[in-house]
Amino acid sequence: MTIAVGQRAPEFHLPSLDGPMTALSDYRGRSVVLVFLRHLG
Amino acid sequence: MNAIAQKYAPQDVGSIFLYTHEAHPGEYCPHLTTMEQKFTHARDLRDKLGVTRPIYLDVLDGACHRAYGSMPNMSWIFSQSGIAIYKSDWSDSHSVANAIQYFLEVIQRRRSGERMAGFRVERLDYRIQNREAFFQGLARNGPKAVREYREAFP
Repeated sequence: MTIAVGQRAPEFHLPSLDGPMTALSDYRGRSVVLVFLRHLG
Repeated sequence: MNAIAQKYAPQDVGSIFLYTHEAHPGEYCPHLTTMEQKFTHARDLRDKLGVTRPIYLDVLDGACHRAYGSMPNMSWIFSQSGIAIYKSDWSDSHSVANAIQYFLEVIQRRRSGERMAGFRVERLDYRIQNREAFFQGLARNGPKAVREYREAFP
């Protein structure tokens, strides 16, 4: 089940390359751009 | 997208760059089987793209990517209240910048007293397509990546 525009964004907790974790809720009260990156060559 | 993140940060727009997986695995850049590989690929991607903001990593099985729709290079924008207000199946800086600018204007209009209600829009945005660079990337991943892509999209 994936979300759609107009729905609440699912929470996540993920590690960073440099160590610290982030959660979507860390950005509460701010607009947020979430960009998914894939590696190619 | 890095430039977009820097441009709008002073206007309190956060940006999260999330590495998912190898786009087209090949002999030189194989399918990821460990988080250590994932960290290595993400560092390589950061260096190639020149991303200066933190890059976060999805778990090995891509659970976060799936939760958000699994499209190859997605972008989402969430409102200040955590509601998804923009979804794109391709990350294009012009499209994202247009959307951010629009939503910042909505915030300003609301602050100035306009009563506004959301509605759904569907439209097609356009991105630059560079097939030569794409196939060069496939070749760097290895012959398997090139072969599988040509078989899937003859």
